[in-house]
Amino acid sequence: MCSHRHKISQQDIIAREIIFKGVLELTYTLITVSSVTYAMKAKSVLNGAGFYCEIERQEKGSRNGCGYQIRIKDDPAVVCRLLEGRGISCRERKTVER
Amino acid sequence: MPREENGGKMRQVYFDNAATTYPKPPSVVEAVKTALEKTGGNPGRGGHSYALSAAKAVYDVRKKAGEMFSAEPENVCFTQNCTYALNLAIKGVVSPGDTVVISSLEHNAVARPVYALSKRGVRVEVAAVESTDGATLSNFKELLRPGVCCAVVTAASNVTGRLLPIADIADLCRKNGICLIVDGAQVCGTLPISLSDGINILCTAGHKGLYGPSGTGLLISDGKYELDTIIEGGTGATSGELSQTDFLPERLESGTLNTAGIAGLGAGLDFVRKYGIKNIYSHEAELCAVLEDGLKSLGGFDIYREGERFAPILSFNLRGLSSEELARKLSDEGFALRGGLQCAPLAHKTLGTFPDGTVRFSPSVFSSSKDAAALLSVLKKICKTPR
Repeated sequence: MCSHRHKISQQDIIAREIIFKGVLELTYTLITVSSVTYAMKAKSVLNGAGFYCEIERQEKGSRNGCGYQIRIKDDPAVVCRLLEGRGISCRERKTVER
Repeated sequence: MPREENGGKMRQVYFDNAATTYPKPPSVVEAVKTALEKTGGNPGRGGHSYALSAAKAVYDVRKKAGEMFSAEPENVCFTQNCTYALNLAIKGVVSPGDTVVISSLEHNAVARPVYALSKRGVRVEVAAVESTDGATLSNFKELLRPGVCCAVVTAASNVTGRLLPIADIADLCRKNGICLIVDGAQVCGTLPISLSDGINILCTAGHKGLYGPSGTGLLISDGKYELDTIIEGGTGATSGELSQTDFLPERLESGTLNTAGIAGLGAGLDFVRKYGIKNIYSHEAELCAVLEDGLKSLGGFDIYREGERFAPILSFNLRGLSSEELARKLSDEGFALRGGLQCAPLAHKTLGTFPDGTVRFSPSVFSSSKDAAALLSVLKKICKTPR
């Protein structure tokens, strides 16, 4: 028996690309910063440079307690280089899915 | 005019802006009101929207202040007033066995902390302010030698407005590895000053020339000196550790911040930027010149204007009357000027006006030439009255 071969249409390809891109966009990096002041500064610097950034409270794993982190979508290496150039230390970073 | 009746009350004219500016710009009042009504959270305490909204409001003001005084936002610390900022800076830098140099025009905000430190093994030396900047600098040069811990200098006397050569003093400090702390209470918002002048730590009030509410002050650091703390507590950061947070601004901001006051200060900074420091200075200096010329033409007044450059403050006395008596008579006529020592006995000893002090005239952008002329008329009347 011939196996059924599904013909992939151009529309399917576009749809799969959108889904794939969506999955990529659902991956974030969380970067721990020193305090809410540094979080605010990070957001200001990143937004000023055209990067997405949100501030949130660190939920767990904060060694010192009461930590803040920023959530970014872009390449963390690029982002941290930019932040460290402005005196903002990227203390810890981890990639998470939504 | 003060004598005009307004609803049965004499209108008061306020010329004590070196103490605190009044009135405040409507935008400042609005910002405080908005913060109280809408920015409900505690900045740095929690991740909910209220806390983050308050933190954003506070950060925006840090950024504005940093831009005005050439500092990174995280090196802008909020305090209750300039005195608190100076105490945090001086006591943060100086340890027993150190030497501190101050000028002979310092306010008690500097004189008292260093006097207290002198009781704990700190050596305090006073550089006399002379009639010229050159002679004053020579005195500083003699004292600012290697091994001195820090110099604490007012940018302008709160009694006479006399400006000190801060950039030159900063140069001496830099060459000798000395931390320079500047009291900018009488110049911030009125004259250009920033860390780019070579200042390591600039302390100022938020409620004077920056037109913020009372209860606000700033300590602005270049980050080169690590400051010991005199107050410890909750900072919203590094909470799991018993030792105080080791980075600015949180290190020096224990306890809940004055969010509403800081929001008002932000509006004050906007007001100053919009009006223009140059325009503010021109307006206020012009009013001082009008009063100075008028007093000279009246005769009988001593005017304390020894020096080369001045912030818009004018101190004077009427011969035969104490400063407090003259200030009271002016108050009775509807003019608010400050008599006495203005919390600066060291400056008055330098001027030769201790212990009676002087009457101090200090206008703001809201002061008018019409009111300055009215003040002169009243002074003329008092001057002609037998004493």
